[in-house]
Amino acid sequence: MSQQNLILNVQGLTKRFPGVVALNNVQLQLHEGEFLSLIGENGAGKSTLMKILAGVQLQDEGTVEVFGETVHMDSVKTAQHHGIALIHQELNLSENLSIAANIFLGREPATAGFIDKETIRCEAQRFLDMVDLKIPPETLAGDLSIGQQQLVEIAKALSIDARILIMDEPTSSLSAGESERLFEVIAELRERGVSIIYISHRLGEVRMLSDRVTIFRDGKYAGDLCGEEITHDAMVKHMVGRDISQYYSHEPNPIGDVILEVSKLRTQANPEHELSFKVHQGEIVGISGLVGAGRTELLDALFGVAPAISGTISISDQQVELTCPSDAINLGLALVPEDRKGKGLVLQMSVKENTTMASLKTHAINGIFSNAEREELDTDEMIARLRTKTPNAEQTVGFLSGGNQQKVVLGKWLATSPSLLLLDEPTRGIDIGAKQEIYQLMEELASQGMAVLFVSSELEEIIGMSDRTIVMHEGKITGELPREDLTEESIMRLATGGV
Amino acid sequence: MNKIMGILMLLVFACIATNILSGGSFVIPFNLQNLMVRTSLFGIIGIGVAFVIITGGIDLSIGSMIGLIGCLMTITLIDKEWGIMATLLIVLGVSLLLGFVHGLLITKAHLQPFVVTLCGLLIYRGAARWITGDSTGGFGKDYNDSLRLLATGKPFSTATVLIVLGITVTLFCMYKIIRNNQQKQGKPLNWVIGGVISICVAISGASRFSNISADQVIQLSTATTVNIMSKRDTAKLDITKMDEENPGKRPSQFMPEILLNYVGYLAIPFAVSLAFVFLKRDTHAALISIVLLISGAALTLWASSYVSTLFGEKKDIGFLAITEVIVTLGIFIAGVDRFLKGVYRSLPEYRGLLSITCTLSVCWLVSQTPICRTLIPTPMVFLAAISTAAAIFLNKTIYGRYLLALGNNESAARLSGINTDRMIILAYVICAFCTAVGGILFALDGNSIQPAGHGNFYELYAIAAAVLGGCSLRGGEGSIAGVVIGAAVMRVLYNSITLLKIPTSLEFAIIGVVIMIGVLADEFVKKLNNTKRQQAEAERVNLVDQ
Repeated sequence: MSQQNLILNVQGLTKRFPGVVALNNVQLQLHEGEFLSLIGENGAGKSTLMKILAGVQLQDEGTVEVFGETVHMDSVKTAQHHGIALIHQELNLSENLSIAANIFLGREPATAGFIDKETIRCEAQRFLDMVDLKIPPETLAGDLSIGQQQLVEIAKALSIDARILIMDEPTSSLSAGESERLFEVIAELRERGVSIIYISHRLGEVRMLSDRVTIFRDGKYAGDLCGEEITHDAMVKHMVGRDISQYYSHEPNPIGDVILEVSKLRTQANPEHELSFKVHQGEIVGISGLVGAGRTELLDALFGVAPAISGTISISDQQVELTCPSDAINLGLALVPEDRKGKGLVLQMSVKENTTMASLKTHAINGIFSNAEREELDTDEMIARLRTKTPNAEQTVGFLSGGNQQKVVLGKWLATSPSLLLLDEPTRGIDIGAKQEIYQLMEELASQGMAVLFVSSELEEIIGMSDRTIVMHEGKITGELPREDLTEESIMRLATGGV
Repeated sequence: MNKIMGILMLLVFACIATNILSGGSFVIPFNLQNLMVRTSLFGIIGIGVAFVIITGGIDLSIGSMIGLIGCLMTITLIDKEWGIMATLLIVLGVSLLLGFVHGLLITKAHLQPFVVTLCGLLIYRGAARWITGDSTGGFGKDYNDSLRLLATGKPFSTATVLIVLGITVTLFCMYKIIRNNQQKQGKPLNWVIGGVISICVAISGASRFSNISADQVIQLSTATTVNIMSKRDTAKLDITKMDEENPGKRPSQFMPEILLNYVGYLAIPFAVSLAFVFLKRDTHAALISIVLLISGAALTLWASSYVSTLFGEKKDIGFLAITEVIVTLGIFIAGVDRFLKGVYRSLPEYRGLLSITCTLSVCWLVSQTPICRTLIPTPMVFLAAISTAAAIFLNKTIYGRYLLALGNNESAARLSGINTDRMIILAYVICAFCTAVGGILFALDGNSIQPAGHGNFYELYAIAAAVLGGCSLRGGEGSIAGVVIGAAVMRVLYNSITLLKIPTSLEFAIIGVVIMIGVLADEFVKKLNNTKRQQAEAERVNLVDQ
């Protein structure tokens, strides 16, 4: 199979962003009619490479050859001209325009400046037939389901006569049935000779569909797998760079007193369900569930960001009222939010200013003046303790890499000496080294008697790190699993609402 | 810091250029005193709006509020005769309340700051016109020697200020040197240099006192420090007359002029030797700075026929000369800047000596001009007090940090336990307080309050000063020193329009263009710095990889 015509050849590609090298001398080959999957952890550089191929961004170094011709991909138009189409993870249809108008957006056939609606409609119908979408082309794109919008995107790609179709996580928001439908369309496209680059986190799909798999790790090329080599374990090993068993090293600690007790809590987002659970000192509790299961909303309620409607929260056996984050902080809670850049950090400020933001008040002189000496001591301590890689304490946080930014957020909360740490997706979008350091830190904190409650979408992380896992589905707790019962199957069964 | 240096440079440039082009009219005491009053007034309201801008908001109601304050004052003071104390309390109370309401509407009712304060702009103007029946008011002559002195008084001479400032800073430097010695850390050199400079400033200030008799000094201070709260009439010394009596009088022998001259001459060989040292380290930069310095000096010589205007000598200047002077000054300042930057980085000892030389030269130069006969007006004292307090609040207290943090990222600040709503309300209250102080002074200064026009557009001047001083309308960025200098730049420009007899119809256009250029230059420098940083980062990463 690999002896077929090479139609896309990427060599030595490098792309830098402030503070991080997104792609470091990577390569990628695609043959005619091939189904190539590109996998890697978050932040491995997959999306950046795809954006470069589609002309959205320009590389710093390296060459892109399409059909044997070196191309300078300086715009989306250039990419389209060479037959490359990218379907973004977030779909880009204009919801107020019809399907037909969306397909021809920017390339409308026109007579004397007036849009030729009839031609557009007929042409659009032809492409919709190709993707087997039986909906009139006049329908507004906003009225379609996500799966149907996906098919419209493919029709749009076909309309520019794409020979290389790049799909970034197309199934991430599709139901099983819609995914099946998509796969059928993809199979048809391959018969037409369209080559496909498929990016996905769902290794099951990847194994089923791919001719070949290219793996990226930390912005570098980490290897290729062909045919029989494509197994779940092999892919994970390449992505992670080591066996998973060595990756998580959690030893349960002796469990202390109950530190947090929640009973009959109703959050603002899901007021129809009552939530009850307990967390003990020295315990690491995971919260698992699918996107939209209400996990973040639960943490927000606990931290007073979106106060609960009813129910009781007790901390160390005392019932408390949590109406704003400062209440929660005074009670020894700390929240590392999911959206690090939007909610966790002030990107324009320095490492020092961010680290001391939550503890500034505690150490203020006369309650007003900031304590410069104490600030410096605290910041230096946190940089050393968390091994944050920063030139100095005055560095602007926005210029640090994701992992180091997350360490600054953690440092901010550790400086308040909390007794219960709430983590929302603590390792999202950070590199593997930093991930492992965060796991170690969780471990260390728990052994010192701190309770850790963490939300994660990565099942491996939940299984690897938690003493106990609370699984949520559509706003309610569908079950609690002790460490010995944690398997991907048992979690997924509860997370999808099964019993 | 760079930003402040840049705008300071612009201020110096504007002052020197205006002075030369106006044939020395700029430095006469009358003009400088007026300029200081206006700068102080706009600086005070600029500081207020800077706090709001730092939170990412805006206050458009300042001008109308100043109008309302003026009208309220004429009513309570003249019509109702409630007395000075009551008037000031009422005005402050009303302003703080309005600021508090702005804050509440923005945080609790979730209205946009633009909309809330735009409504304020309309409402307060209407209220001002209604309560006064749209008739122009004033304070008459009764308060000329009491309350109005808040705006028109001139309590200190430049000499006093220089002496007090010099001695205070000297003492501070000595304290720092002793502390450094005890702790055996820090950089004592910087403090030694600072001490030497401030001693020079104090001496040059003291030397001016010998220009007038001790008798006159006492008279001067009694005339200007009357009890502001009473209407007592005091014998006054006619300042203008004193100016006429001592036209362009040189400083006394108390401060050996020869020494200053000598140091001034020393500066030239010193600068040349420095250039050679520098040449060894960074040839490219040294060459650029030397070329710029030489060409600047040459052009200065060429334009030297106008230099005598620096000393207050009047001269008519044509259009060609105007271009000449501006180009010369520009090149010279750029050369000095380039030179200083290079030295600043690599040679700390030379930097110290250079700054001592420069200060001495400037002291000498100033003592030759009428600047030293200028008196400091009272609003300047208000500005000094408010800006110091504001700077300490913004940079040294936790609440200042909170304001900057929430201006940059409100949700991150809230999640860090900061009560963001309370901080935003505080910012609007601070703004209202500054507006009240500014409004009182504006009313007293003008003594004629037209309900429909008093304070019109002042909010825009305040916002412009803040933006020129480095505040970002996106929030989270800004410095008090920058705002004050920004206000000064605006007033100097305005002043130059009058002095250079440029048609006043062009006033807004010129100020607009200058602000635009200032902000563009700032963006440009920011972008340049970012690119540099990225390159450095890339190199660092490459090194690590290899």
